[in-house]
Amino acid sequence: MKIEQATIFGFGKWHDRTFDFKTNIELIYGLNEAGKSTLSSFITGVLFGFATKKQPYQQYLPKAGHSYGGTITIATSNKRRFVIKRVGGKAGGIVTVTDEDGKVYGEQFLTQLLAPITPQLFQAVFHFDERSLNQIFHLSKADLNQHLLAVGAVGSDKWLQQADTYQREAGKLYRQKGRIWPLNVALKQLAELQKKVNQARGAFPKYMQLAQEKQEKEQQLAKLTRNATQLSQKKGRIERLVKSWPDYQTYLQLKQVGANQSIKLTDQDLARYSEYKHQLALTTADLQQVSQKIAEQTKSQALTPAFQFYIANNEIFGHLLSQKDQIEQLLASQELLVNNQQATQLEQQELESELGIQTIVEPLSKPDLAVAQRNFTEQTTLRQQLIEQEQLRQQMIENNTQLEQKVSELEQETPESNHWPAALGISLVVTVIGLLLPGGLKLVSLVGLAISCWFIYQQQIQRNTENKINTEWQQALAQLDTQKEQLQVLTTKLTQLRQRQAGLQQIWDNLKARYHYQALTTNLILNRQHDLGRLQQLQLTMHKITEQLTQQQQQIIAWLEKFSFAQEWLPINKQEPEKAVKQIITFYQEMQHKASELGNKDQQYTYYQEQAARLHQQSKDWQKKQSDFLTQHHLVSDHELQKSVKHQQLQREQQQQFNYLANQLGDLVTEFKGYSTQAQVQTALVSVSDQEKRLRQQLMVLQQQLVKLQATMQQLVSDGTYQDLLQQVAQQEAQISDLTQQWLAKRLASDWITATLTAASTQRFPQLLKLATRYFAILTNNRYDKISVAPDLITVRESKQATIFAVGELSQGTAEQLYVAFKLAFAQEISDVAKMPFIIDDGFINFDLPRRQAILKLLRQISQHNQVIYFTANEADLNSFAPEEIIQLKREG
Amino acid sequence: MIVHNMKFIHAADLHLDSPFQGLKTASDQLWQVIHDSPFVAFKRLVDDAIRLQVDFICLVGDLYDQATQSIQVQAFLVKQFKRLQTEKIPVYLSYGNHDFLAADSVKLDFPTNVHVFPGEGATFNLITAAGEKVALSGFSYTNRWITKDMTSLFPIKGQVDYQIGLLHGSESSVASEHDVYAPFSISELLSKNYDYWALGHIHKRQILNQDPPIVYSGNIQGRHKKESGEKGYYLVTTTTDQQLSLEFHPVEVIEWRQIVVSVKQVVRLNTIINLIEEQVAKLPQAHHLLLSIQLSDSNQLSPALLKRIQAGELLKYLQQQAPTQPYLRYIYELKLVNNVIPNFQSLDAQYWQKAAKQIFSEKNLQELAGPLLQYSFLDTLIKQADFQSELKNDVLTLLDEINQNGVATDED
Repeated sequence: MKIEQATIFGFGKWHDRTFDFKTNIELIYGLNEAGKSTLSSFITGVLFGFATKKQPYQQYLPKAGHSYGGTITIATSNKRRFVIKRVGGKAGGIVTVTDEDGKVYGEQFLTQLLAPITPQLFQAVFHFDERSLNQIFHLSKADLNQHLLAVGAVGSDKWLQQADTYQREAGKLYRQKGRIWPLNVALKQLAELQKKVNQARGAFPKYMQLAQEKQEKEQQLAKLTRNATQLSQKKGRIERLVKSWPDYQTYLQLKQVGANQSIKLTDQDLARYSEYKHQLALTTADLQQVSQKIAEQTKSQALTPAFQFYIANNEIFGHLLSQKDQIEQLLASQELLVNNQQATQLEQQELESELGIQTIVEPLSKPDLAVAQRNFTEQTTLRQQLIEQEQLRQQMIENNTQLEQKVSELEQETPESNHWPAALGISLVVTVIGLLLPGGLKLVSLVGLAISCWFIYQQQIQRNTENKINTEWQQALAQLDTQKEQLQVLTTKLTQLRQRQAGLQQIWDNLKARYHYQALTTNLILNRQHDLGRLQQLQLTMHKITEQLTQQQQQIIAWLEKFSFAQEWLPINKQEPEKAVKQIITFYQEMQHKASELGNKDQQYTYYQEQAARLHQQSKDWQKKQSDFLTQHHLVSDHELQKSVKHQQLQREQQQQFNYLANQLGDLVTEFKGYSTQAQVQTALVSVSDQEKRLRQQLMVLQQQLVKLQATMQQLVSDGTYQDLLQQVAQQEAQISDLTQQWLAKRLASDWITATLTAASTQRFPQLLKLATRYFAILTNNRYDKISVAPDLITVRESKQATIFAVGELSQGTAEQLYVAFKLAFAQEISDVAKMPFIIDDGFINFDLPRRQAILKLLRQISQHNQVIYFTANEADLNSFAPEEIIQLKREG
Repeated sequence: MIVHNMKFIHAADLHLDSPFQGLKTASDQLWQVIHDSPFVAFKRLVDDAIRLQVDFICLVGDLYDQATQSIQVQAFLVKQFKRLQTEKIPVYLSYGNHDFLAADSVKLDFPTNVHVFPGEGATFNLITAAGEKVALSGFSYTNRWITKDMTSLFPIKGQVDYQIGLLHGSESSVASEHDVYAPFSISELLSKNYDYWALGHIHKRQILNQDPPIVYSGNIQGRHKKESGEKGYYLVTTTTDQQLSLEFHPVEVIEWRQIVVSVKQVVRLNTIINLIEEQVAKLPQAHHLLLSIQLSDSNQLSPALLKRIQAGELLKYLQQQAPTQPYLRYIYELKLVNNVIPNFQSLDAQYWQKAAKQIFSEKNLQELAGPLLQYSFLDTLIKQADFQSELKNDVLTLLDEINQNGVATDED
């Protein structure tokens, strides 16, 4: 491309001015402020856009109201000519491109026209100024490559742009560490879905667990249901027990009654008994009839009730009175016995009073009598001796004490002699009275006589004894004086005598005790033994008589007793047997008399009598049978029998009821045995009901649990969530796959472009380096012969010493020269693709003269293919250019 | 003479719990259909078995995916098997690489009419309704992979009228990625003298040998775009001369299909829509369809049109159309087919080709994808040749855009 003309409407200091660039290399000379930089800026501004308001000093807005902008006429490599017009406007100004035919294009066309040169690339490669040359210090291989890529092939800039676009678009789909980009988001969603899937996957083990649980619960349910059925049956039974409890009680009572059942009368028995009764009734009726007949027969005779009674008991009377003589004899005998008894009693009384004893004692036996008599004799003798001796001693004592004068006839024991005549009188009276007494009682007089004789005899004995004591006292008195000394002897003898007397007395007392004779006098004992014997005999006789009397009396009374049946008609006093007997006999005789009077009066009557007797017998027979029957059945009376029958009937009914209940209760009976009270059964029922209720509750809970389990299982089975989730995952994966595909496509497109461009530009870099080395050598007059480009470092080799220098080590000028070398080389290298004019705005001020000349020389070479527009204020440069190559700018004002 | 008419169903690869892959969006109605589809397909099979009163059913593996452990699937199978049990139709089941019999497998108990082949192999015998003696031999996977040739487990045909082998695996001659699935050779199978080989594992229906038949029944419901075409089971019956006749019965609910619509010389979007609708209308009305539409000659479309299509405008429009009745026709993707390498102007084509080799290499793809490869489905995707060529197509379409833009500018 060649810039042929620039027409400025208004730009900085310039306005309405046209510059023609006829040659390929043009030197534009001017002093400072001549407008060199303004023109340079105008050219680049028209081509690539004016500066914006952000860079106001680069804008070069015209001061004097001229319109902003201008045109540049260019010629392309294929010899087409375009006029580029740029005027003021937004974003770099409004640009139009007009071709030779007058056809106008827009900015885009301009870009294509300039492609692949971009403003940046233009600045980097084709524009030189003092400032930009400093960039060498920042140049890297990547920059070079980038620049090369950008211009490496025709249209590569566009490709690069596109690659960049794809890269950006790809970045908007997915970034490795991004979060908000669609693919990143989709991946995150996938992870969340997967998490849900994993959760949902738990359904299977859960189902199996539930299935297990369900099985267990079902077993439990079956068991509980069985229990419930059993319990319900049990409850039913207990309910029946409760309901039947009264029945059971009745049952028990009846059972008890049944056990006590004793009398058993069969129907036959009862029939028989009833027959007896019937017969008896018949007989009684007959008897009544007959009795009536008899009564009719005897009506005329006006029979007394007593006689009627007699007639009825005729036989009994006959039988009893057959013993009449016997009884009369007994009565007579009794009279005798009573007399006898009286006589005996009298004798006994007499004797007892004679002997003066109240109770009858036994007489002594013969040996004992002998002992008694001997004892008595000896005692008598001893007593005599004692008395004598005592008297003697008394005498002696008196004699001794009262000087023997007082002698008197000591007390003479006189018996009560005056009693004797009275006693004798009494006994005599008794004798006389006894003679007056009848029969056996005349014995009394005998006793009286005997007693009288005894009294007389006793009086005689007494008189003899008194005489004898007087004599002895007189003898003793005479002897008193003399036998004073003998007193002692006498006393001793007296003591001996007394001892012996005591011994005898002892024997005597013993004997008396043995025979209970304590109350009897010695005399009586010794002399009246015969009487004692008689008394005993009398007593015996009395006993016999009394016994006989009693016996007979009993016989009589027994006989009388037998008449008690006739008490009404024959009232007798058994206490007076004789009178009673007489009464009976009299009654019987009277009745017999009456009967005989009546008797045989009528044949008919006799017949009836017989009939009556017969019927009476019959009646008695039936009565007997009846009573036998009752006895046989342990019954006392007909009433009792009726009671028993009734009872039996009741029992039968009860038995029936019992059987009915037993049947009704059935096997409940055994169950009732477990309970003693109704309350217990009711308690049991409550307990069972409670159990059942609890069980039902359990069952219900279990069933509910089962239903729930089943529902849960069904839910698990029918729950499509898992499937849905899997499908969602698949969907998400599809989405991700799609996004990945899109992303990969963009990335690959981008990469492919870059790779292709790289491939296309790989040959350019060595070429570039070669050219740059050559140019650098030219510019430095062969001081440096090699350039090495490492990724981060560019080095040069000093040719003589082969010293390597980094860019930073070079002088400012040399570094700038290196950069210029690169730029020129680059432009040269891409000249097949794009040939842009170099715009050099006073770029070489740091160059020394030789190098300055070298660069100008080089530029002249370059200008053969690339237009060079060189702005300078260095007057010396003018020498290097032909006049037609020079445009001189004059400073205005 | 006995009239032999043994009748049985051969099916495999039910994959009841595998989701549909490659769908980004769909209507709720379609999702429901998709969700139900494998179940409905199998239910149809069972319905047919009952209606036809078959003697037995062979299920040759991959009924479900062991890894997903879906109780719904297990419960569903039990229910369907019980229906068959009621009809006294036995099921012979060999587990495959997806539903392998792991030691720790948790499975619901199947009813007694289901005979599962053990890992070490077994032969079950039965007598058909017509009185034929049938022996069924097979084995189940106890692991995800079986690299061993399992044909030795199958005994030589015994004293039976028919012997059938159930084998879930791949023929050893096919691509290496399948040689971990009980590889076998046809000659080995033929040497067993069986009357029928019921194969499973390969989802594409194919008959490896005509007589005796060695058959892949394919799966019963396609689950992604590669499993396109009709899916179902084989009804195998005996003809009078004891020959087996095979009859394919489709049961699938949704079919995946691809149709190509040329957009040559089309300048308006409406025209494209009409062209597509016309083609779709011509499709058979047998079941729901998931359609992938490829617009051929798309490089002839104007850049503006192309951009609208690429932005998804057309697909969105098509997807938003009211659902067709009674069968849904859902366009799940719209592809621009562009195989014309764009004009790269001055850039030497050799640079492009050279760069393409490196850029589209699997290695570069993997490097580029980087952490994305931790997602196994992406890893798998990127490794697929189909995907790679598709990707290249996409890139070319993108680059073509630049070209087109360039041209367009000139035309403006």
